[in-house]
Amino acid sequence: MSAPVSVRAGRPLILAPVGDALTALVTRDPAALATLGRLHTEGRIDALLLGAGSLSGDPARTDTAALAAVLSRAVPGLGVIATALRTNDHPYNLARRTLTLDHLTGARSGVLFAAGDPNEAERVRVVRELWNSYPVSSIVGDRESGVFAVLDGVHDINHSGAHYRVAGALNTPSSRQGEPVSLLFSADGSGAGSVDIVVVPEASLIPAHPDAHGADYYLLTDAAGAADAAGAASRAAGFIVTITGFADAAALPPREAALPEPSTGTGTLRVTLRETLGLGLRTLDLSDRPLTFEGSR
Amino acid sequence: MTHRDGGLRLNVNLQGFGQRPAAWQVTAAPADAQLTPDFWVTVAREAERGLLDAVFFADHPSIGNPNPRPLGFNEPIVLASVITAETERIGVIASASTTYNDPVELAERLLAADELSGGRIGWNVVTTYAPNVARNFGLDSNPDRTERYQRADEVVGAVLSVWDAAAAGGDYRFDGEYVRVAGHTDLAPSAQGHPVLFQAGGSPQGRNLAARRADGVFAVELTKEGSARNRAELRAEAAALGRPGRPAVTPGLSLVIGSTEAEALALFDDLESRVPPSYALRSLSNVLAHDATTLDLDAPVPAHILDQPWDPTTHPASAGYRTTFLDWIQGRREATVRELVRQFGGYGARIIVGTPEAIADDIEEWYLDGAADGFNLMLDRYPEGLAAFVDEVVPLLQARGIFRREYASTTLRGNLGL
Repeated sequence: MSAPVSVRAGRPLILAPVGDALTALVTRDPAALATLGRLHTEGRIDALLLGAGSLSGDPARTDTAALAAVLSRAVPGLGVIATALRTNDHPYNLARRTLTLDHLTGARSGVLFAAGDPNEAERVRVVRELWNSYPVSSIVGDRESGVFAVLDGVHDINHSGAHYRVAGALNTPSSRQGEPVSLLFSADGSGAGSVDIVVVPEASLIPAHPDAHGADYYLLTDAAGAADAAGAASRAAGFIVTITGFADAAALPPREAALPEPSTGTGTLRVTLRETLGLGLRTLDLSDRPLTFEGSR
Repeated sequence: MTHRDGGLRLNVNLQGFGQRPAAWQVTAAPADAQLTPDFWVTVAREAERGLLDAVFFADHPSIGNPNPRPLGFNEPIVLASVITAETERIGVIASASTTYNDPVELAERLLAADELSGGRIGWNVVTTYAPNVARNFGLDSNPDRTERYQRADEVVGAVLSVWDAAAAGGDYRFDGEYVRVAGHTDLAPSAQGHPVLFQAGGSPQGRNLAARRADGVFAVELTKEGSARNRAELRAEAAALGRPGRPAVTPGLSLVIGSTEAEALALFDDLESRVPPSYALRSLSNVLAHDATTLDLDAPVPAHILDQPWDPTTHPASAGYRTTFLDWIQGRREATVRELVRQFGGYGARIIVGTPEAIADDIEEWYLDGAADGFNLMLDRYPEGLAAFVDEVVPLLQARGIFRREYASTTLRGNLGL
């Protein structure tokens, strides 16, 4: 393969179909799905972000969690990221839906929030606490004793804030990747610390020492922008690349670093999205909160 | 239509590992199987192999103790999208609350799943009575039943306004007392237009909502006569509202299948022996409106408990369950609590522990006598119990001319004959 010199090296690339490209996935266009499968198999994309067009005012064409669930079956092993941009979507419902998606994708999912709404920081916090309120390790399934789950790790979140009051616990056990990968779109670069990945639209918004902020900074760009991002974007930990049609995918910069090895011959990579993106395990400690099942196992 | 036209309606209610609390202890599926796509795809494909209309998911947005009966871990609409991605014909009916969802957000989420499924989604409209849900949504208690159903009616109206708009330019508007929405949707209609509406509440308010809005009703019925009466009344009410022939009524039906009655009973007894009686007693408490764990297991329920006056509006659990239970227990007033708990194994729904022939006889009788349009089946354990139903009971129902031999359509609406 005569690949051009890549500036991307081993940095992750998340594909973000918008406009007609998103519609092609909604309508399950065979050519679009075939291209998507090939990009995944060739290791040229690490995950899919659905609904990024809403960040720039595109109308919502679908429900991104439902579409993510469908595409996780159409392209086995592909990481999928849904958007959580509707502020009328209550955190309990949002947390449950996204954590369900995470389980049903084999811990290969993420959620994109957006800074800007005054409720957003609290909303992200509530969702993350709910994600952590019911440890998946509670499930023991001991047939001898008849104990399905040991519940002394399940906590109410007992959240009472300026915008939300949420008791918890969530009724979905926690993710096998600790938490779904959380992303926050920030038009001005603020908002680090609460999420795994801060997504910025301009390379200049990436701080000189991004590690100090506790989050990776990804640059939201188009294919051309990712290909010539050697300058200011060199600080980006990864790229989110929008495409408006799957023909544009040919312009995606190639990747040099090898992907993790598949575990068995099932065609499915047994790798979480968190591992694919090089993120550490992430959890919140809720041990200071009330037990949900006081005195019961 | 209840005659030998192959029109029997059959759904399967996927209550975790099965209807019996101990199902997780005997199924081949590992303990965490409900947190994997493969378990659900396997079970749904079994249902599709049996030509069932749909798989059904209840929903309570609050945590329940998974001991001894683990269920309800997944959000049903995302789960529906995984299932429909891996199947061709079977529908998925997802419950979603009108009290704890934004109407437009819910409308678009359901319609999106319906479009992605090729028109195989149903929405079971629930108002949510579980008392510990409210505190997850900033409220101290659920609104009372009257308000819940007034709001539910308006939410359904608002949802339908969005769905109708998707097929007609996109602009929607709904003005109610609780719900006012106006805007534009960019979603497209699905292959069946929009999701099929179902309703499950048995209170007068719930039945009124069903008469006006639903194409299918998940009823709780313990006696054939009571079910026939309720079905006739409901359909008469719907007909008077200009909706003749609707809705189809599918009571819950719990099944434990054995090749002989003795084998079925042994299976049932084995499952029962694996869980403490406290689980069934808690269920019984809900319909008794009295803590059944305080009762003498070897004596009948005291008459003053059975005959206490009650108000359906303030009854904390399902009013429909209590109504049908009180009807059922009149013929069993002398039974001991221990005997009642055993017969109450459907926890409000009927239970049959028996052979494929006995089950087919019962289904046929209820169907041909106009007591039901079909059933929402609850198998003891998944996927094994469902496989037994598909292999052993479905052929009998087909041979008797009351159940389809192939799907008529690719959409849920089409397969329901709507």
